[in-house]
Amino acid sequence: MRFRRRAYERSWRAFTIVISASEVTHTPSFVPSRHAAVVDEVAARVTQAHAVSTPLRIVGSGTWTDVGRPIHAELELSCAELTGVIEYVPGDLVITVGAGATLDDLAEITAEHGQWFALDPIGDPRGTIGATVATASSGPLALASGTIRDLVLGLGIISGTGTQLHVGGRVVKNVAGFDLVRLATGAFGTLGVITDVSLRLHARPAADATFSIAHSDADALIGIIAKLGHDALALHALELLSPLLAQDIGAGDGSSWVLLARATGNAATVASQRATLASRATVHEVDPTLWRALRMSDGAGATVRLSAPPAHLARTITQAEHATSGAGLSDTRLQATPHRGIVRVVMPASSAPYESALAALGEDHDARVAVVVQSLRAHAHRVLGERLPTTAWNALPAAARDPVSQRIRDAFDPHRIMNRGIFGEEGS
Amino acid sequence: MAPSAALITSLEAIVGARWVKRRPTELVPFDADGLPGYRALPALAVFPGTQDEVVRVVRALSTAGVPFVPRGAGTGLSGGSLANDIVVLGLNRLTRIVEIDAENRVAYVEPGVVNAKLSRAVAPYRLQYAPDPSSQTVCTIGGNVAENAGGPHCLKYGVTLNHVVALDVVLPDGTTMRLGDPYGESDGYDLLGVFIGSEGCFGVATGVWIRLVPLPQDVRTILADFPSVDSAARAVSAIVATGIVPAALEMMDNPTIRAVEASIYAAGYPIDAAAILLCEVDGLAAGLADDVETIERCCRDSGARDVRVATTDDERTRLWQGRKKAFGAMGRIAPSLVVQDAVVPRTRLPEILRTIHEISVRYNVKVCNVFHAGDGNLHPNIPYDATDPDESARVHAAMSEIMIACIAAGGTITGEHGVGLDKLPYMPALFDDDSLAMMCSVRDAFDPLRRANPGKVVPVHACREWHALPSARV
Repeated sequence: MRFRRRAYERSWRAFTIVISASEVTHTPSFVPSRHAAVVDEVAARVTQAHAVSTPLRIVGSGTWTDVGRPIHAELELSCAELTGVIEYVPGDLVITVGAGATLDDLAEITAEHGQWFALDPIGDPRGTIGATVATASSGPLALASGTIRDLVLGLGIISGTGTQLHVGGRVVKNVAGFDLVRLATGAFGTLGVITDVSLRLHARPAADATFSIAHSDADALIGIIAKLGHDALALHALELLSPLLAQDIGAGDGSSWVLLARATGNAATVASQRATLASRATVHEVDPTLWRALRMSDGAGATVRLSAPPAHLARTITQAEHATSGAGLSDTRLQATPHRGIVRVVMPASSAPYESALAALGEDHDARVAVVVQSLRAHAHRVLGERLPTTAWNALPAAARDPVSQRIRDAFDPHRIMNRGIFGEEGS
Repeated sequence: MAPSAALITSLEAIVGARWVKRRPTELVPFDADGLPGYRALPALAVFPGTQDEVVRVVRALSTAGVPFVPRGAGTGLSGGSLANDIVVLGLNRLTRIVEIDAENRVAYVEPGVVNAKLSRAVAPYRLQYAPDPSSQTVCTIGGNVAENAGGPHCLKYGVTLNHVVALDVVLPDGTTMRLGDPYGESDGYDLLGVFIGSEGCFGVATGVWIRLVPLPQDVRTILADFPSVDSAARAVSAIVATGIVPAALEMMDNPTIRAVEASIYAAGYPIDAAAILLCEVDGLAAGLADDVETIERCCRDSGARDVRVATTDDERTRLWQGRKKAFGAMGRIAPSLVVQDAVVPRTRLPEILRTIHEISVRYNVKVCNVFHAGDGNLHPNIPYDATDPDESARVHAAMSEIMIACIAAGGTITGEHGVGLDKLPYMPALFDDDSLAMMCSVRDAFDPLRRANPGKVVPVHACREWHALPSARV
């Protein structure tokens, strides 16, 4: 739909968020006319690139550029200027922002009204909402709030020909026309640049507490989840962390697996969830900033995600452990999302000497990661790469190879200039 | 279009002669859906009995180059399943619930399975299929997928899109594909997401992988009675702002209340109320009493005359039956009923309801509002006599103004019923030319010859090169 840039319902007070002591100071501002001008500028650049078939690499805040297959591009197309709130009516629980707005910006703006954008994707919260949508990133809160796919209502997109498209809308239910929002979500920029995003917000729950349960044996914790049955699904988040990952974020001492559970609702709901957890194991209430630490732990190494039926979680974890230890990557971190059957496998470039198991590979971390990926492909239900060396990417099939996807790509980006190569579809 | 003898022979060879309907008397049941005033006789109707037969029928139609319209129960309200002199592909015989994997909370069903039947089948595992359109006792899962159907409980649980994890589809050219993954994440484009809600224009789903969710431990249903529509709308905003996500938050205005109370579905609604809210909270038993108290306070602070909490299952069922059968109850008022569907941002509800009232007075039509207030999804319904040309003209003019008002308020023309034929004229008011043209291109990616449900969803003139295609001329 055409975005109507109504006057923001209250006078916009420019504010400054100091993200961390040393680094970026970011000032989002409500200047829609400026936003429209920036969109026009970006569109003009894409039109130009399309005319001469110059491949472009789309960059948000640059926090996640090492994710996905290598992109073959001659120019960078920055979305950093596409910031600011375009429309926010708190009573509607909907916000429209420029794609360059960061997740931290969103948190700050919505918190003023007791609301939140209930998505906590892995990675730096200084990452942009545009990149989050493009990569279809979600996090632990998806258990109750849904994935990014469930929270994006509308998008402004500049296609690979430089055409400005407006898809979806600003209301929470909408089936008018074909749902191009879904296509652009998770397209990794290959269908175009996202310029603005309308999101579904939630009111902050009255009570919100995080609990941890530790055990030396992952299977014991999986057993606890099984015993919780449907009660586990009433939680807002539930993640299982391997000992090293738990230690990294300050949730454990490095010897135990840790189950992190987040309960939200009113005080009585949270108390009852705590009691339910406590009836199965020793429970500690922990600092909720652990969730942010978990997100920030991203980037420590080569990363793949495994997914399989949730009931096979123990087997999926074992597959990940066998594959990584078999390749001598003993300091691997695992993060499991039990209800979705997902295990995230992070393989840091170790400072410790490699075990002798694969002595032939020497100190070549990339080669070891490739061995892991090959092994997982042979045994796991689904393997998706996040951040991998090129040799390991080559062990995974290209995405979007089917004829329908190819025709969709051609419709949006006939010269295939946008993030060429990120799906592994065009070769080098 | 007279189907060729060769096509009829090949269809009969696939499904058996009795499942190929050709005589007008046999085709009359398929000449309409729930949208009054639109009737069109198909040229032929074919009813495959298995998933394999569906694929073979689609291939035969492809070979013959014949356009077709996939059809479930025909309960759509936008004219989407009308097949004007082309082939109806009926999926009602595919009614198997193939697999219920309770451990992983996934079910695999054929498209002709009736919505409510699926929820009944999984209830013994304490699971449910959450989307619950008012037509759930007859509408099919395949139809729900085509329309991305919603229902009252979508406020908390989400629409069809949020509950389908994979689809087995046959594209109009006969190619079969698995979209999504029942047990894992997918990469590449979200073809599953764009197929859901494509109103039969992208192909036919032959199998649907459903995500099941647990039945709540406990439920509370609250009926609040308001002296004005405005005060009820204020209560909606107040409730949503607390952070409680009600399972459902429905509003009915006075004409609707009176229609329901005069029918066999009488639910005990106060007939002198200007509006009522039906609010349901569910989840863990422990927190519900507090949530009910909060909601009750929101209602009273907004001016509710009375707030009642259902104390028994029977009472709860009765309160819901009144809501779900409200459309049926309006049948007592007049022989025809337009059930409209539009969405506005929640904060614009009071204003848009006033506008609708003003429009109804101006055109001298009776509007009954019954809708999903929690997500701003309006259903302004007009009971009328479709055989009266003057009244029909006034009804259509009023509906058109209501749609334009909803668009102007930042809303959309359909929240759950689809565009079909009925909403086609409003699409250019909602989307710019380039965005409509891109929708056409995406349809072409699935169906380059535009043989599946031709002429629906996106106006013909928005599609570049449309006129070059013979199948477009239906």
